[in-house]
Amino acid sequence: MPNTHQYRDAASRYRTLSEHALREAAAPAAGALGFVGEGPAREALAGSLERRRVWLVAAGETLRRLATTCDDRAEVCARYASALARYRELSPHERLAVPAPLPPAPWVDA
Amino acid sequence: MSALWIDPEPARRVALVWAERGDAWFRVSTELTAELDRLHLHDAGDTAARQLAAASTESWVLASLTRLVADRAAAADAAAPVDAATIARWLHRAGAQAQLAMPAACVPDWAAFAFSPARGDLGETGDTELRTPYLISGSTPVERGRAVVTRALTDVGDPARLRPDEFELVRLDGDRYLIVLPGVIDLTSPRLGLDPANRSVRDLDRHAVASARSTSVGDNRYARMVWDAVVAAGVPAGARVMIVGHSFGADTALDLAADAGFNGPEGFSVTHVVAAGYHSGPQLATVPPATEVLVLQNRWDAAVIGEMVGHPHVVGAIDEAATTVAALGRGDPAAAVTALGGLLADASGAALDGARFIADQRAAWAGAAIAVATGQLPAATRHVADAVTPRPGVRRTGERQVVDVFAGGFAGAGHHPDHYAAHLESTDDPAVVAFLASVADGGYADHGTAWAVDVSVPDAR
Repeated sequence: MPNTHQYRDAASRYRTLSEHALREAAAPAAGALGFVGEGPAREALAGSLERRRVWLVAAGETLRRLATTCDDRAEVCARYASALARYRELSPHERLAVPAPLPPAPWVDA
Repeated sequence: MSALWIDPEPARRVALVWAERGDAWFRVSTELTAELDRLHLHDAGDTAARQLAAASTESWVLASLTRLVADRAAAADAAAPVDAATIARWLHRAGAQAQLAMPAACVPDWAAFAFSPARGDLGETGDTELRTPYLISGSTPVERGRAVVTRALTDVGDPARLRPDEFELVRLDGDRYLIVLPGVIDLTSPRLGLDPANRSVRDLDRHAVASARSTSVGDNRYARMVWDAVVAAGVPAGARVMIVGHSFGADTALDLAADAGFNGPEGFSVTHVVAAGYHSGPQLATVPPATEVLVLQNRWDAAVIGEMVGHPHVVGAIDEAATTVAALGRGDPAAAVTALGGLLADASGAALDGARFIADQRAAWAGAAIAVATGQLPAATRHVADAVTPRPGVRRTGERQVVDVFAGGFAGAGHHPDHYAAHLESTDDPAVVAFLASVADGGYADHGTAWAVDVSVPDAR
């Protein structure tokens, strides 16, 4: 089961990938097609390049949202780990009065 | 119709860059799908993985289209006219049909994009997905022949190129076809039954073992599924075909080449087969003489050795030989003579079997016996290693079959396709080089569009 550290790592990785995808998408198309003159071949290549750009932008934005999701999950995991640590510090007598914290989501490391 | 101006060399370089960018993003997408399982992020992550795969696919289309345009210009050697029909044909050949439905600048429909995750998927049998194009380089026919076969062997070992439930079908420029068949997916982590994540036909106990006992397509479900998929993909009857297979894929390649329905007047013309990482001895005799075959075997490939000793006479011969060595070691000549008699009988059987394995290793066993008898244990160990592994060397079986046994790496029990790709990249054996030249002469050392084809076994329930 993933933990705080793993979600934070993933968030950082997805944020970097998002930046790479968006940067690659932002590269100017005109320069990329400098080897071909005006005409239907260039139009076909430009269409393909544009579709590629659209997909990369979409992926970059999704990855950014995915990174935020991982940040949120890391927070949830961290809060649960703290609650668990506090519970474990209780004496056996005190534990009788307090319910043990349960994992707040199926993806939280119990 | 308008004239086409293009600078071919920069265009070809740009095509390679786009193909590499596509590969890089596809690899990220593949790793992402594997990681999503661990992080329980399926829904959110699946979208990103699909979008990255779509960007990869479009990069590959762009690479192929650029290369086709550059080749056209170079062939005309001047400004050449092109029309809309030509462009449509190039786009189709580049694999763009799936992308054309999405007008540029529209919001892409990621959910409609065909995409297999790293572990493969259930259903979708026969479905195809575009993969990185074959952009073959090399200044001589042999170099180009080597490049195309090496690329195929690299693909079978790379999960970012072929998923566990896929094989590869490549349409090469000169209307030749290349079928690339990877091996089983559960050799290193065996499981009983099909993998529930993908129901891949590339399964050891359900399909590969039954096929290894026979040389018939009738006993090989993988071969039958490949055959169906090739027909469904529109490969025309009579088309010239090369098949490159590894492990169970090599077995399947030989089964298909040996089948008169597949490799014959009513089917296709299988002109070349490369069978890597498989004990191909019993099957070679069934392949028609018009088909050229290159068998590649790493002598340290545990799967090849296992398949060799799976033949009953070979098993018997090894048992007898080991008994002979042991008897000599404990100074029991009577037992040694008895065991030696059995060894010779089984070795003859092995040769008759077509395996020839133990028969070829008699000198090594004799060396081991002498070394044991004279107390030279390190030498005995070396001789025994020689005796239980195929001997390196290149030999011809008939005019058009070459068997190349080489001493490659040990990693992955010697079976990983990378050992075979590495050997093929470097070998200069004349028989192998002649085979590669023949691959080029046959029109296969060319650029092409690669498709991954799903071979999940349909669930009858």
